[in-house]
Amino acid sequence: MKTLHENPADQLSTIVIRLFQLAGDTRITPKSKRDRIFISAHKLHGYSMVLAQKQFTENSKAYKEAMDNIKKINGGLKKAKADIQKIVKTIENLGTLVSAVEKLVIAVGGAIA
Amino acid sequence: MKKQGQVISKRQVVRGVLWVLLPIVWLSLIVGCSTPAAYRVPISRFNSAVNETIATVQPYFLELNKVETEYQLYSAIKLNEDWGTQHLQAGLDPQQIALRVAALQLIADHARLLADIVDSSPIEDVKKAAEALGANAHSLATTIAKLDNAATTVPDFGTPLAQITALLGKQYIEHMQTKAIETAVLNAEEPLSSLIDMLEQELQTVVNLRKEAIAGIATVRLDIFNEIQKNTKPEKIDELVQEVVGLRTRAEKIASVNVVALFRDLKASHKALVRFVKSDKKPTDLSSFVATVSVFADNAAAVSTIIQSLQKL
Repeated sequence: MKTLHENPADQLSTIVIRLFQLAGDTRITPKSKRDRIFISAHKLHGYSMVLAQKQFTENSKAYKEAMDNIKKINGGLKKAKADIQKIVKTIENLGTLVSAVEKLVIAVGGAIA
Repeated sequence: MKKQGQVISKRQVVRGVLWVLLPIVWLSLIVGCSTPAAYRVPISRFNSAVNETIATVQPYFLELNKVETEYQLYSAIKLNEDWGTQHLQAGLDPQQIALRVAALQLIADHARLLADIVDSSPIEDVKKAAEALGANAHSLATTIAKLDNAATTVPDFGTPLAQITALLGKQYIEHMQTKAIETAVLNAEEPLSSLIDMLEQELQTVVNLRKEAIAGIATVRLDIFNEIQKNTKPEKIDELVQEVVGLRTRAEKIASVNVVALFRDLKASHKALVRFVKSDKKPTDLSSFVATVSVFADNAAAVSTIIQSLQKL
């Protein structure tokens, strides 16, 4: 894995931040020198943004593929949760069935008697 | 051959009961090896930490363009430019950002659904339904006995029936919970790792861009403060100094928040979860999983506290 100092984008970022800090350091004179540093930092920040946009665009297809897979897995989890709830319903239905059979037995028994 | 009216022996009754118990015992052995209880606490903590992390990380993606626009407007002042629409359109493509935010949401949903499976166990509902079944079955048997004039009282078999049904229902539910969790975790191993890897890299990029913009804004604001200072009455200087000090305090707090490290914790916790599912689930496997998730949960809570304090500054 690349560390902060091995990644060129991270290195560029460190330089941009340092340049912005220098552009605000009033010990650097004349002021025009600080203004030039600010312009350099501003340009480099623009390059950072371009690199980021490229990284985002290139990753998009892989994102869509991975997200589609996880959506399916999440769907499976939702279904499993619903199936678990169905077990309670099944036992409740069995109880109702037994009760209905009892009523039927009473009715048939009464009719025969 | 059994003759009509022959009395059933105790041995036959015992054999009949054993025949009924045999499939029950067999079914218990099949589903009884489930271990959802082992998942309950670590998955709940994993879910809380993931959701806290996502809530912390999302604004870094969502607010990147806002911070960038602020920077562009401040830099225009420094560069003596008029503000224009180009400054309002700065930053990354909003659709690309929306895709990352949706990916983060999907990870949060996945963790929540795993927790839902282990947390929302309808064991009490199964017990109630089983008790009702037992009572109804006993009542039916009593009714049949009365009709048959054989006996007016029937031994209470409703209670053991309710207990057996509740036990089997509980074990079957735990079996289904374990199966659902393990299937989901194993199937999600590769796509979730891939998403987390990409998001971690891009989060680093977004954090860098944000830090650059904030550094640029601070420089221009110092220039503006210098202009204000020249025209500030002496009694108002202290207020101005406090405002400038506020710039530093905020910058230091922002620097202390390592959201990328939080995402690395998320990655480690996800790997620990997959490792635990694949393991023999010995106590050492569980303690290793719990330890990783605990570090993640503690760090997520700490970062969340810093982020909240930043909003108050």
